[in-house]
Amino acid sequence: MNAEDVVNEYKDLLPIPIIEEAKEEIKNRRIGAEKAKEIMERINYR
Amino acid sequence: MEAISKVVKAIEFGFLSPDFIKKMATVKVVTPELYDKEGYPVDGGLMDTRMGVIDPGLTCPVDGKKLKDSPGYFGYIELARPVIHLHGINIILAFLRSTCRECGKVLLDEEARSKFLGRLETLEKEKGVNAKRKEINLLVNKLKSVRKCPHCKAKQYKINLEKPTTVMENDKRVFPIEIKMRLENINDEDVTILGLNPRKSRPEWMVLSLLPIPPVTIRPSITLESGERSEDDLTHKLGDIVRINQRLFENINAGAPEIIVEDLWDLLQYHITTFFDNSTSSVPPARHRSGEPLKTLTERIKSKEGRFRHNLTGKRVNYSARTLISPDPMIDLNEVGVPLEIGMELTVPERVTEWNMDRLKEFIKKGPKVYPGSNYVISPDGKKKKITEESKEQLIEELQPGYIVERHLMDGDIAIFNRQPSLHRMSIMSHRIKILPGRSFRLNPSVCTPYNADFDGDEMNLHIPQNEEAMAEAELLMEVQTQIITPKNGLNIVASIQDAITGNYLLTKSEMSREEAVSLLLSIGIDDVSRLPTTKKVSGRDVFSVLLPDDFDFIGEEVDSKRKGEKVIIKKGRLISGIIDKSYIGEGSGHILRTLYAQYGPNKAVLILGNISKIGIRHLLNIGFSTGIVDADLNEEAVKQIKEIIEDAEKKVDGLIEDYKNKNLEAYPSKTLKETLELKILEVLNKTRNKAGEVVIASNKEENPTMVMANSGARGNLTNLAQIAALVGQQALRGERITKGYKGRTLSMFKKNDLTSTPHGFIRHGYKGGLSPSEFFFHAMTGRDSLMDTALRTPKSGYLYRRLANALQDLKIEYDGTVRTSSGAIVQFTYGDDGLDISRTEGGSINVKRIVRNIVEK
Repeated sequence: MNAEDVVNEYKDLLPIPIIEEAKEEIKNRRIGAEKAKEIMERINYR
Repeated sequence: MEAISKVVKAIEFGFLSPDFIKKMATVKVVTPELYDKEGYPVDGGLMDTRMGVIDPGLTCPVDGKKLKDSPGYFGYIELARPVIHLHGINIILAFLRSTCRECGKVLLDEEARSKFLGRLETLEKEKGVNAKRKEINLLVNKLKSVRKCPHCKAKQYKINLEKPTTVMENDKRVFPIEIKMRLENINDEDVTILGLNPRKSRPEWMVLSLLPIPPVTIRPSITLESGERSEDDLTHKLGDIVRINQRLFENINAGAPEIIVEDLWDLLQYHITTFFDNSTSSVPPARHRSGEPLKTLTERIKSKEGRFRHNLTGKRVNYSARTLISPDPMIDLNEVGVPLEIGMELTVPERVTEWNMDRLKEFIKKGPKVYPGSNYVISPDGKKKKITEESKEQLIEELQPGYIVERHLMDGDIAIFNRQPSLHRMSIMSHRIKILPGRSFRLNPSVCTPYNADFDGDEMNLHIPQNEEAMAEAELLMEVQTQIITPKNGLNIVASIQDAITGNYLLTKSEMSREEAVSLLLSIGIDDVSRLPTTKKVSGRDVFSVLLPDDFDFIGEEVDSKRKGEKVIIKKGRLISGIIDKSYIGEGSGHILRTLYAQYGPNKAVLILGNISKIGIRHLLNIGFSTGIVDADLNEEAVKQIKEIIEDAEKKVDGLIEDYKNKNLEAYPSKTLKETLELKILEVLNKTRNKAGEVVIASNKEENPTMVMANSGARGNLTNLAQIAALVGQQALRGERITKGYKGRTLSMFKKNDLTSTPHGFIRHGYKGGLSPSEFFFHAMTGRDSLMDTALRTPKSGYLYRRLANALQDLKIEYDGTVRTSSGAIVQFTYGDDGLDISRTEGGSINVKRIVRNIVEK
């Protein structure tokens, strides 16, 4: 599973603009799946 | 157990018919006497036992029940002459005006009548009762001016009301007897046309011929200490009614002149009106002998002290205390200091088990007068026994598992703390009790913000949960640490304030010896100093770092050019660079606090926050921090500069005025020349204060305590300092310079039509130097204006908020994610239309970039 797939897993939990922003940020910084998971968990800490 | 729920479809109100009054009554009241010589209620009197018993020994003759079980029953009085019911007068008027005085028919011809009936029916079906009511009102208004009956051709007259209950027709009085007769003449269908349901209320029932007497149980008499009986206000009023009614009867029977009968009749009307409502504007209120107005039926129900707001929506509770609050920065955030006196009055129930029996026996042994003791023992059959010197021994012997001991409050017990107005969730939080000497509740100043409390005389309420479930709930859901983040915007509401911020600001800028650092840490209760560098001198940042978890990473926002210093960076629990100020630990912007909360959870976050506040305050105490008038001293150079700035501004203003007079001024779009001039002058003068402020700042040292407070964000701002030291600046009334006063000038000391700065509220002196008389006057003008503005606006916006909150309080997010009302109607398909939980955001949005940066740069 790559970083984008990780982000997509949160599609139902977060508003679309936030998913898009996270995707872009992760793409720009070339972040791997593991870190992406950590980031998404932090964003979605509800 | 299954709950039975029923939907209330409608509530219908009506008037009692004379038949019904008679049917429901158990007594016909004939005498105003209350008790006989033996003190026993008189038969046929107002306290007749058939209307209910209020003496503990008596049984009700109607249902055979005693005081507490008998609901009481109505009685009635037959009135000598009919009397108008105050609350029916408008309906009576409407009926009299829209029906014929001779034949009693509605003043519509047959065709219009049946058409209207049809319209009413469809209206009610399609648009509801309110639309129907509106239509009827329109009809009544129309029929008012009909002067000839379309049925019997009788002449109609104008009918007026002389408040409160006198009906005049063509300036001649219509007495209730005639009113009643006319109303009786109206047939049922016409009653329906005019909006009443004749089975529930006929118009003539609003002219009372029988008056129902409420049960004794709703107007109990009280026995004073002297043994004297004192009757309820309602009984007093009813006594008056019965007495006057009797006299009226006698006079009528004796054939007294009509004028006397009418006088008595009016008196009866007055008494019955005030029996229903003693606060109608057109009637002088009936009073006690002491001059105090009687509280009759309407007063019992309405307003703040009435049944609804006083007894139903608000009640008094046990196990609670209220007293003044005062600050104590050295207790924990989630603690509340409780005076010993209160601690010995309020209790926590502890159920006796085999394992705690000995401990609880100790409490009983100490009794209610020695702390920590106990006040009551409750046996398993529910009997509550007071612990006294005499009963102690026996109670200890009797104690078994299953009993409950109500022991005094002790440190660590859970309590619910509240300050009104309770406008949001954080107005009621739970705290741990700490018994302290003194007579006030003590709270940590950091929790002032959520309660909106200060210490200028505020009082707060304390409640002790009385069972394990309530205690657990209070602890898990309501404790201070669970409420650090406000659901309003996801920012922290519990934070360091005032001195705590100043202290941390100075601490993280300073250096000290290691001994001083250790002593500082010990003074706030931190004894593990292993993380403090072992060098001789340590920085304030090192001391601050000891408070943080050793794996805490944090990168602050970029520092903008105006703020001095570097970006705050914390790596592995060490503050490497930056100065701590309000934006990191303050309310609504505490970045560090929020990150701590998110990473380490509420319990640890509140502990760290408490320590941060404490160390700030303790540091200030150590170094000594004070403010005074010297903070506003200026050197000669600065004084000169400020003078030049003011002169410069005045020159500019003169130039603008000159341009205006020579018509060289270019008007702003949609503004006149005069308006443009005013705006330009205002702009120049407003800038002057800012420029002077900059001079004040430049001329002051950074250590100036007032500057420290302003720079750290603890209190005040640099404009305050500039106003004290340099100049107060332009005073504005509703966004304009001051123009009010005399013709062509603000005060008689100025020349007419002078447009320069001074006559229009420019204050060129600072508070410290002192204002000139005219300046003082202008300042008082704007001061009064803003004072009145806030005084009038605050209650208005408060009430607005109250109504809004009441209207929205039942909305909730269902498990399917929709926002619904209590009846299930959808308000939003997803909460806020984006499904974002605001309490999980930072100020309403999620800062994705910062989260990514924090994780990547870790």
